[in-house]
Amino acid sequence: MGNRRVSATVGLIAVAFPLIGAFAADPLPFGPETDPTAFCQAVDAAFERSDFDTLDATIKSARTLEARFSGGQTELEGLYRTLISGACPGYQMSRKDEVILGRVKKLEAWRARKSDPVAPAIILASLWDAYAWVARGDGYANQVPRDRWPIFFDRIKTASTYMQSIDPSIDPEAYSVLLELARDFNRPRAEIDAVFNAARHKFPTYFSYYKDYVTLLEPNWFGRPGDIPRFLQDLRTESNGETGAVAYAYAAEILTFHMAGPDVFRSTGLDWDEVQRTFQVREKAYGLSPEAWNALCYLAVVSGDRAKAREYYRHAAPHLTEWPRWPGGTTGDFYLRVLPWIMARDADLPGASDGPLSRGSN
Amino acid sequence: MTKTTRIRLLLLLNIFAVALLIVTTWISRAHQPYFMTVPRVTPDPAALLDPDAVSFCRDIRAGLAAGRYVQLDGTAADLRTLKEHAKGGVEKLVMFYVGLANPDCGSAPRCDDDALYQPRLRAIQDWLDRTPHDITAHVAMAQAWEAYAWAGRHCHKFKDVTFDEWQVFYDRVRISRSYLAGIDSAAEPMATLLQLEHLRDSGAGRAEIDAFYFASHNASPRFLALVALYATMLDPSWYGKDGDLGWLAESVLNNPGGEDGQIAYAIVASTESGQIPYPHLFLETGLTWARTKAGLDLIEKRYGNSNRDWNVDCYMALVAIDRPAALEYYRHFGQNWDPAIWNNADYFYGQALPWITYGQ
Repeated sequence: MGNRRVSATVGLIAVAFPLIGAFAADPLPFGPETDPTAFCQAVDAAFERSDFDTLDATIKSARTLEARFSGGQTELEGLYRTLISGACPGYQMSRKDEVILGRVKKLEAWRARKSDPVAPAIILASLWDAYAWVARGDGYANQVPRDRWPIFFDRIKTASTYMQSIDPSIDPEAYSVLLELARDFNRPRAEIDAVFNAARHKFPTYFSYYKDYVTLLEPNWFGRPGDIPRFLQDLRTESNGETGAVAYAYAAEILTFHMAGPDVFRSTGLDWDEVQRTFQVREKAYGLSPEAWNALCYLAVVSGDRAKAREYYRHAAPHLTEWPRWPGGTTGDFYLRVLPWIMARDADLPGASDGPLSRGSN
Repeated sequence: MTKTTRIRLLLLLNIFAVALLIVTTWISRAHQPYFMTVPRVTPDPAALLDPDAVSFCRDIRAGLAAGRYVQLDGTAADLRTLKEHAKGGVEKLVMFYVGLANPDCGSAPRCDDDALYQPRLRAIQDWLDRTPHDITAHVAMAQAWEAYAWAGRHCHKFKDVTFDEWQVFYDRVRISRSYLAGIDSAAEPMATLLQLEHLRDSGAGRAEIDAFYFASHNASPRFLALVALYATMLDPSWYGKDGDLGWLAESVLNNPGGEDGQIAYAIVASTESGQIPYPHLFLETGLTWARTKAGLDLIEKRYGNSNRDWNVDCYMALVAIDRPAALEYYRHFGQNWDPAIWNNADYFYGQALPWITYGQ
């Protein structure tokens, strides 16, 4: 009888003070075998039912950066990608105004609870930035219609308001958003470097920084000749140890997709031996995603290293449920031109001596 | 009213009711749409094939089994002129080699079990053991290994092929290529076809494939199987870009031109009819139904059609929304509908046939 009375009292308190429920919320389950799509769907479902307690608990737990998907992406990145875009792997973020603004409304409600000091603001900032790009389009600046620019700048201004009072050292994703905004506000290079250096210093194993930053060093963004090779050289210095090696592999992966071509090694300063070594370190530490295996396979093909290309393709093949994302070309290029070369055992096939992606091959 | 009168009246009423039933049933049947009167049948695969082609296939396989190699060589030599065609227009030379290599005399390769090819490889190997320099045996072996390669990947499309299946595929293509070493393709048109397949399967670029096709086509402008094979490579899922198929079809109207060109045009459309998703065959490829139909009429007149050919023609007429033509073609094959063309009975009986026979 006494126990029942206690239970009833606790129940009443719980109903009267929902905050008690917040303390009790568990983070979403996560383990080394967690499937990114299933995790994304669980996060999205929690957001859809406005279960902010669970999201707060999950973000808090993920900020340790200890939990990662196979392939190296942190749980925190997975969380934020879902909460910003509302799209799971294989799908694109909706570009419809009503969908985006509906998301904004819900995020504002989460932010108003003040249950997490920064997460809803980070998501709102990133979502407004993405919304700005919806207005701008993905083309080069000179292809953007004039009437789109004011909308773009209004939206990135809105995005920046969310970041003004945030201490980025609380949450690794905050630096990523600051880098995005620095890019979109066309801030001086020194400022971009400062944000990246602070981010890297505070959260050296949040590897998306290296992909984002090396992208900004590309010639079509803020890069000057020699920037990328210098950055890669810095990452591979001994003092940076395993983290530097993994960061090199991440940077190499994104550069391979962005700057694919027969000259990819010359134009980026990537070194084939170093690529192999650093991807090996990365694989040992975190595993490699199918995209990473594809990038590695591509670089092996450009190097004319058929044995390695075959080995890397063997790793990627079981995960290719759809057409592979192949750097610098179509999937048709891969299957029609590259794969026969990779799988050949004789030396009399087209391009056999130096690979199908070498200069001069048709 | 007496009892007898009542009985007579009842009897009369009964007779009238039965008569009314018979008349209404007759009327309703007479006005039932035709497609509703057609019973659903499972087609007999053998009925789709040209009986003469099957008989030819069996003869040459019997010749191989009996070791009548000189006779086989003689047949191949006669067919190399490319003047002999089976129904639908396909050159008998191609049927000769496919018949020797395939596990059975059906027209399609077998993708389900590559072990079925092993007895064929052994039989051709016996021939080669006896006459190691026989060109016909070499080409037959190249054809068998090429088909065996595709069976090794279960004829799957790119993304569904596993790493190990790819390795098997490329290894077998390599062996197939080796059997053509030193063979003058000018003297053996089938070698030309196989070399074009090998280019496709060995990573050649589009420019190389185009150059090979044009040289081969100029040498044998009436070789329909060559045009058909090149058409498959211009499919957008292979090397093709928008408009390539239409461009190829137009090109054969000039070379070889005339009726031969019109026939080749129809061959391009027929070959691609199973590849281009409905309803795009005559919308986005550059192919036109009017030119295709003219070529189909000539093929039928010159070579005749198998039930499978009539099925293909009927499907194309449906895609082109030419109901009279579709109905005419349907009447040729009737209940021998081809699941490879119509996908399944529900589609054929439930959707295609009602449209084709509308108003009948």
